[in-house]
Formats: sequence, C-alpha cells, structure tokens
Amino acid sequence: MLIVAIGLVAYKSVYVKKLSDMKVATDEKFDAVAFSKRLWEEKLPARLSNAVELEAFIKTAQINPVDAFSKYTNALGIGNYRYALIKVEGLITDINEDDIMLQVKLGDSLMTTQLATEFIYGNAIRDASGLVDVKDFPNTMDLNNISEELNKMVRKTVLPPFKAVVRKGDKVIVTGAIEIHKEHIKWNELEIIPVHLQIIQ
Amino acid sequence: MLKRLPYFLLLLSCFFIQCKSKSPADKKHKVAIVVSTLNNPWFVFLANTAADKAKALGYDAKIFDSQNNTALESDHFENIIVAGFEAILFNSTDADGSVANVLKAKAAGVPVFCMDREINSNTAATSQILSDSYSGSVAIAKYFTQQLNKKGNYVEILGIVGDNNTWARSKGFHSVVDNYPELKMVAQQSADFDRNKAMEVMESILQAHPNIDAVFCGNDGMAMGAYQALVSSGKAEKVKVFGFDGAEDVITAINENKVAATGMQFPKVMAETAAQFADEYIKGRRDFPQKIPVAVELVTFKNIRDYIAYGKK
Repeated sequence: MLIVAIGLVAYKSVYVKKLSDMKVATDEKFDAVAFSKRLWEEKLPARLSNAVELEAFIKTAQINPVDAFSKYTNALGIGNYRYALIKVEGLITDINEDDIMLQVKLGDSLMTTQLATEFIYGNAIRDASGLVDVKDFPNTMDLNNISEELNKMVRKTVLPPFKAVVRKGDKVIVTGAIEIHKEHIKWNELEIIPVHLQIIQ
Repeated sequence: MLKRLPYFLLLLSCFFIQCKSKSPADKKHKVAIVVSTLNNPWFVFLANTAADKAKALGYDAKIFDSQNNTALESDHFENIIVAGFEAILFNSTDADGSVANVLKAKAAGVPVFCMDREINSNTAATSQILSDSYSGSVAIAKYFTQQLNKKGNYVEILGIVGDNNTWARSKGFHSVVDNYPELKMVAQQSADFDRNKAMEVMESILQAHPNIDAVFCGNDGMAMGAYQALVSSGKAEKVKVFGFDGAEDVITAINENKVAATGMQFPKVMAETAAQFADEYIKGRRDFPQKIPVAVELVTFKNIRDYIAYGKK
C-alpha cells in the first residue's frame, strides 16, 4: 500500500516534457507579418472609413492646431511628428517616377499635394491608424517591423495595380496617412502615403 | 546678566532653526544622473539638462561620470544605493554590461530611467526613453536614395559595434537602401563613433575605393571625420556625407552645403522626460511604458533654418 502511495506521489510530482517543446516556448517571438496582416485586413478598414477629410483637417488646424492635432492625429513616441488618416478627392496633374501630383480643393482655392508611389517608408500608417499601443511592445524592433510590414502591403498590393492603369487627368479618391511636423507645418509639402486608391473617372 | 540675554536667545533660536533643518520631513529628495561619459558635449548636455530638470522639480541632483567604464558605473550604482538616492536617470555604457547595475538598483527599490542608450532587458529599468534611431535612419535613407537617384557606390561607417544604437541606425538605413540594387555598399567599417578614427577609416577606404558617391555615418562626429578625409583627397564636392545626431558642427556644415543631412536627436526631450518620470514615480505612478521612442527629425539644407544644434528653433 505504502509503495503504491509513494509511486502515485512520484508519478504526480514529475512532469516530463520534450526539450524541443520547451525551446519552442522560450523562443516564441512576435510575428510582425501575421500581426500586421491581421491589422491590415480586420482593423484598418474601419479606421479608413472614419478618416478625416483633408480639407476639414487643414481648416481646423489653421484655426485651432491644438484641437486638430488632438482630435485627428496620433503618434506612438514623443516628438513633433504627428500622423493622421485622411481622405481626399483630387485630380492627377502629373505622374512622376516616384510620386503623383494631385490637385485638391481647399475651400475656394486649389492646392497641389504629393501622392507617394515609390518611397513608402516610415511610421505614418502605423501611427496614424491608432491601432498600435507602445505599451504593448517592449521590443522596439517589433514596432519597427510593424511599420515595415504595413508599408510592404502598400508597395506590393496597393500600388502596382493602381500604377498600371492610372493616367494624367484621372480623378481619384485617396485614403492614406500623412506626417505633419506640428512646430513647422508646411501644407505645400504634404505627402500622402496611400492605403486605399480608387480611380473614379 | 540681562545684557547677555539677547545673545542667549539668539543662540537658542539658531539651535532650534538648525534642529528644524535637519528634521527628516524637510530633507530634500535626491536624484542621481549616471552618464556614460562627460568627454562628449552631447552627453554633457544630456546630463546637465536632466540635472536642471530634476532641480526644477525640487530635487537635489548629482551627476556621476562613468567614463565609458562599466566597472566604474557599477561603483556609482553601489554608492547611489547606499547614499539613499530615490531615482536614477541613466545613460548606460554598455547595452548588456549595464543590465546588472540596473537590476541591483531595482532590487534596492531604486527606479532607473534610461536616457538615449538602450539596455538589453525589458524588465530591469522602470522605463527607457530612447531616440527612435531606426526610424530616423529610415528617413535619412529615403533622402539618401533620392539624392543619389537610386544608384551609386557608398560607404557605411558604423559606431561602436556593441552599442544598440549602432545597429538600429544601420538596420533602419538598410531597410530602405537595400531595396535599390544599383546602390552598392563598397565598404562598411566601424570607427567607434570617433571623429579621428572615422577620418582614418575613410582615408583608408578611399585608397581601395576611390569612386564613391556617398558615405553614411552612424553619428555626426564620424560624419565630420569622413568629411575631413574627403576634403584632404579633393573629393568633398563629389561625395555626399550623411550623419546622425544634430551636433553643432554638422548643423553648420549642412548650412554651408558641406554635409547633406543628419538625423536630429533631442537630448533635452529625453532628459526632461526621464526626470519627469522619476518625479511621477516618487509621487506614486507605476504604469510606465517599458520603452518610449523619441522622434528623430531629418535635417537637410532645405529645412536647416528650422533647427539649431541638439534641437529645433
């Protein structure tokens, strides 16, 4: 009886697990590709549909920049750069090697803005989306990799079909991210990183 | 006897004043600033700004210079813990080697707030306020690629190989330029963030690779060293130099069109945020993000008027 009891205690006290299983558990790393894909497919569309109209954003920023930045922009870090998801309809006036010039309405006047088609880098989409919280990512490289993966989506899935058909004189609706330096705002140098592009005419 | 009474009362009041000033309730709280080196103006600025902010928040602040020596840094931490400092604003000497010191402080209940230099632990420091070197280099690399029209031969001069910032800057840079196959890196060497070493490294590289179009350096000191080597070889007009930091001589050089660009860091923002966090910790806050990136801004000839050394105008 005593031997059975000791055997039972010993059996319940020892738990054998494969070393390879342990290694997998300890080596588990953040999967930026899967995370960004999920974010792109499941969460970003809702944010895009709520993107602020560029004209409304500029008007608010010109009257009350503090209000505009707090209402429409986001940034993961500390600093002067703020990011916003914007929506704008415009006329394509030039197609260059690295960008497309877009004429947009701003009240009674017209403004030319730049749509990036080659240099899709940086944190604009990640930060503007407001979907990533710095507190959830103690590894800085994970945050960098999210930006890189989101940018890759634009470079590989958004831009090639658009660039293949777009022509000068087309009207387009662009939803994308912008970076604004809150201390030195230069609206005439605004660059839009596209996330969704639609040719309407 | 009556004549001596006022002197006696004065002496008595001095005694009470003295006693009062030594009461624990009125004792000033102390914050330590441990910095990797005071042999570099950038770190002097970081340390002094942190000390000034701590003093403005009502603390006694003392600066400790580790002289780029982890053992000396360890001695500082031990003395700081024994002396009863309540928080440490920390610029580490070594991403790995400094972790033990931070853990020692943590075990003693002293919070550590890292400034600018990262340590390789996500649990040792209370918070790390760090320049976003990777993203800053991405911005520099984008400008670099545009300036070179996506083709040409270039050199990369790295900082200290054991420092995280060295690789964050290099990786950020390559995350852009490596997408352009006609941009060819002909040499990549370390110059330890040192201006003189960078000059020597560049001189030697130029002998092997006389036809280069650009050089990307992991800090501004090395950018100036590389520029000096290019001047000596008569190539300064042809080769574009890119740095990182926002140091005074590079800001001047960009304004004179001698250096193409740099990434402006903000030591003031990092130092003041660290001091502010220490104050909040002492007052009871505990929910700090482990790492907070501080944006690095691209400075070129086009926007140079918006900037001064170590920050914006």
